[in-house]
Amino acid sequence: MSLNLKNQAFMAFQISGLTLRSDAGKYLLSLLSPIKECERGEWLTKIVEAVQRQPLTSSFVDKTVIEKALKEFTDPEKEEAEAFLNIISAYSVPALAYDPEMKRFTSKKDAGSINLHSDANTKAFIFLQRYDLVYQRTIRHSLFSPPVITGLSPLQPQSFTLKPVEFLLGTSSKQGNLIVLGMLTQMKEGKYFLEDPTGAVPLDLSKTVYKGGLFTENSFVLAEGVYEDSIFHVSALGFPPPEPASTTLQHFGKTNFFGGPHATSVRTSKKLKSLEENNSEAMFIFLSDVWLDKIEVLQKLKILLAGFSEMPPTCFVLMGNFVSVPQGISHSKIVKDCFEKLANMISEFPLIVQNSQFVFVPGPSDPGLTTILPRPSIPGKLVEDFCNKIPNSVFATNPCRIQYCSQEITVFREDMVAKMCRSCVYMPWEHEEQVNVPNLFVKTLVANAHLCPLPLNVAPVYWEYDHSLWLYPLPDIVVCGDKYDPFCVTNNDCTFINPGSFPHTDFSFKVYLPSTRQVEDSQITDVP
Amino acid sequence: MLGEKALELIKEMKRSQDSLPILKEDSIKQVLEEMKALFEENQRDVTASVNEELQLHTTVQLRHSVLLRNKRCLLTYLFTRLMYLKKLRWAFGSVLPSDVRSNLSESEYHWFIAYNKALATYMSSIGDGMGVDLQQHLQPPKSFYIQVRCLQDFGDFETADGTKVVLTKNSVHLMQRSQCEKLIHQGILEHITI
Repeated sequence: MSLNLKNQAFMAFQISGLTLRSDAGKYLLSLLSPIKECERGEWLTKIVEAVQRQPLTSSFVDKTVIEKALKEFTDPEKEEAEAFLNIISAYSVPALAYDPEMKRFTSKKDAGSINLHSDANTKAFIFLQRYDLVYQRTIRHSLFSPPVITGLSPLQPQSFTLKPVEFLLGTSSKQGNLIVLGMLTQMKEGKYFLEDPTGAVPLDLSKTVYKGGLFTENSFVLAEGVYEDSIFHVSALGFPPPEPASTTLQHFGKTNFFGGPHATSVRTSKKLKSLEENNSEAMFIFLSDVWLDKIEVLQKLKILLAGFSEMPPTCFVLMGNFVSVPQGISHSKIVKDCFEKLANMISEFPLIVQNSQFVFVPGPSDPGLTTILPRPSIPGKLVEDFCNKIPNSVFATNPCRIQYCSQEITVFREDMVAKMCRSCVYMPWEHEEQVNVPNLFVKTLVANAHLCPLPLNVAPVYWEYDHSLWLYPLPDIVVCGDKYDPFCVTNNDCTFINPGSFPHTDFSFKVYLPSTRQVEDSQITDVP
Repeated sequence: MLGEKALELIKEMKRSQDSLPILKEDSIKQVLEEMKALFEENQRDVTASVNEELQLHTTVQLRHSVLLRNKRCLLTYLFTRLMYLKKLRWAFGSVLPSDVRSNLSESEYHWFIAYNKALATYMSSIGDGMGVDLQQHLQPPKSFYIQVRCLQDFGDFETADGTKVVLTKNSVHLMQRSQCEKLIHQGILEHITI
């Protein structure tokens, strides 16, 4: 009988174009023998189907493959539950890079082989990969794509062609009206260059018109101008055109750029979308600079929690620093005590403890590794007690990503606005009367598709983890926890919000309602 | 020139008949854009001709034939790729080599899975409920047993009747043709012909 069953199993796999290895055959036999004879066929087909859903590398099926396949279809329920709210660490974001040959994003390496401290080549690749990303987006834009049919009608909008730096370096005569995409760098003290993978060209920025944005070093720009005598005289400097996430998705289909347990991008999932629409009471609370050592902050937090105690929001996102001033050697101890106090306070509201998720994003001076991005979470030892009392809490990295149903939220706590303004090539506020800094800031980030378009000496980045700072495709919400005044700017269907420093802005914070995609400003005022 | 992009696709396909290059999605998009532009132009001119502008007829005709030609080229391009995939299914079984897999678009891969499924359903429905593997004996067999040499270390291999064969590199075995045909396809065994 067992031979018969074995034959049956072998045949079933063979018909689907797979071959069973002998260990897999034995394993299957041990699984199938206890089942009634009439049901075996049905189970066998199910197993074969499950095996085929696995990412197979050869047509020989061994035991591990079957085990994996079985695991998948014994608990599909669990995967569903995981799906709706995920906190994604910056270190687990898929490492994708644009491949100009294949014209698609491919994964750089296996996630396991990425080193925190990598070799020197990686440093060059950071900018190369950022360039490839921006370049493919730019040439696809209608301004730069060649006309469909030449000379069809005079109504067609003018189109431009991008030239590589190589083209400039190779010409000896004067070249006018050139547009070059490249990175602004300062290769020699006080002298700016435009660099792309083919070379670098010195810039003359004396007569340049800057078109909106904070032009920092190492940001990608479109320079328009005349090339003469080995110098590129730039007449206008602008940012490469941004692209809304919907366009990106059209081109790269279901690739999951964002991370999380889903195989494909959550934005394309209809199921999650309907889940999101049905849950109209979902709410995200964002606070920045939650100084737990200040008694007023704790008092206001208590008012906040009490206010939400009857209808707990989906998620509280608290960003650091969690202590107002660095305390030197006893800093960690103070952080630990503060979190204990917070845990006791939250425990007074059992509904919130049960239903809300807490996410803690560390600030620049919180304990842990230094300020190189992405920054790991607060060490587990310090917050052990807190996690025991409040089980629904996640100590996340900085930046971290939150996936809620079909929406993508990026949370980043860094005083970026000040840093960017300091390292600008051109200070708009010195030349223009009305400058809306948040708008310029957001425009720069969107155009560079990067959270931190700054030189590495200003904002150091772990070279191999640069991809975790990418904003491509643009998420739905980017939360920039900054000590700068609160703002809420929408650019290309992506909303950037800054809740502002909680204690400095009279205890104001931001509330996000995912079902209507609205951001509300809130404040805890003094009770008269 | 009109229709140039579509012709390029076809030419490229002809050049690479024994392999499956990456799907030229951006070229396809360009062709589709050209078709859209042509269609819009035609729409405008047809409305004009209704209002008794007679000299536009030839232009409309020309554009229309370009439209049809583009469509035919695109369909040929996509169809030939699918037929190549089908050939691979019969040669390698249901798991594609990774270099081919990475060159496929999402929908092509789905088509391949659907084809697999349809083929498996058909094969298991024939032969009095036992199923027949149509992939076997693609050429009429001359003998029941054949002599094979193993080209790589494969490990234990269990035949359908329960006998276990240890396949190590350069070992020679006398095996049932039906059992080792697939291994020969995969390049693990080699048929020794004297």
